[in-house]
Amino acid sequence: MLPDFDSNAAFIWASYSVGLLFIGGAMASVWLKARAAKTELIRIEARIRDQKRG
Amino acid sequence: MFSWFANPHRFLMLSSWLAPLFYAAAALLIAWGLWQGLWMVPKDDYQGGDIMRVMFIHVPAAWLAMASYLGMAVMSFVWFIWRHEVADIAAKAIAPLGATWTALCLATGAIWGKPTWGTWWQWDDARMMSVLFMFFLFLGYMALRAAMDTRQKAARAGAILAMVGALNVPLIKFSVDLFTSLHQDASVITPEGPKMAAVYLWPLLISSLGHSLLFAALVMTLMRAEIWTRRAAQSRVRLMTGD
Repeated sequence: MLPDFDSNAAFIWASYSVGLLFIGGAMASVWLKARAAKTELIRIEARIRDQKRG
Repeated sequence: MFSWFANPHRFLMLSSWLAPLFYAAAALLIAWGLWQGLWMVPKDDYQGGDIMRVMFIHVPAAWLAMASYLGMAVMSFVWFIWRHEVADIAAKAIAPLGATWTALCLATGAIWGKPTWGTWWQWDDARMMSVLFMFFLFLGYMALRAAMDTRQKAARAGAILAMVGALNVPLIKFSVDLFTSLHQDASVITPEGPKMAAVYLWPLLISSLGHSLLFAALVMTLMRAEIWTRRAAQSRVRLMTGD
């Protein structure tokens, strides 16, 4: 059940929507970047192990 | 103490359990702050009615924008004096997130300003302009680092900009006392203590703590990503040289 605001409801929801967008976007980009960095490191370390094994 | 934290391996160990803990605590605190701000606290007719509920996202964003810039400047100082790589990694990680929360502060401030003051933006308002300047400092810091051809040059140039730009933070804080502004005077951090009613103050403080923990967790995650990226770069060299 959403809260019932006075005449400024559109401004209030706009603020919280912007918050969701900015913070959600920051979280998604940080997590994707971390996952890509970890995957790349694992991939290179696996190649080094393969190279050592000949 | 700085040297203890300066070890990337030790940082990875610490952040592997601290970051998830911060994410969980932040989710709980922000959810509680939202529930209080949108559903529970009574509207304040003196502050324009329900529109004051924007405070529970705008004020934490504003505090965090300033705190993140100070954090970036302190980490830059630590790198500049002691050359601890983890401090530089922290400063680099803070910049995009600090810019995000500063942009959130500016956007929610404009949305709050329209029904309250009748304008989205006021070019001669010292508080608005000094926060906008801080946003550009964050962007400038990132652009400056990206323009340098070595990691050392990027760290040095970024650190100098971050430290010099820190002079803007007290200007933001005291701008409402020193210059004319549409913003009200400080009502939480004042020499006489908070002037705000407890029914608004506690949700605001809890919400701010939630934002701070989320920010810290995201910085730790970005720092982990940077350490992995640097290790991958070193490993790539080992792979190419066959060491």
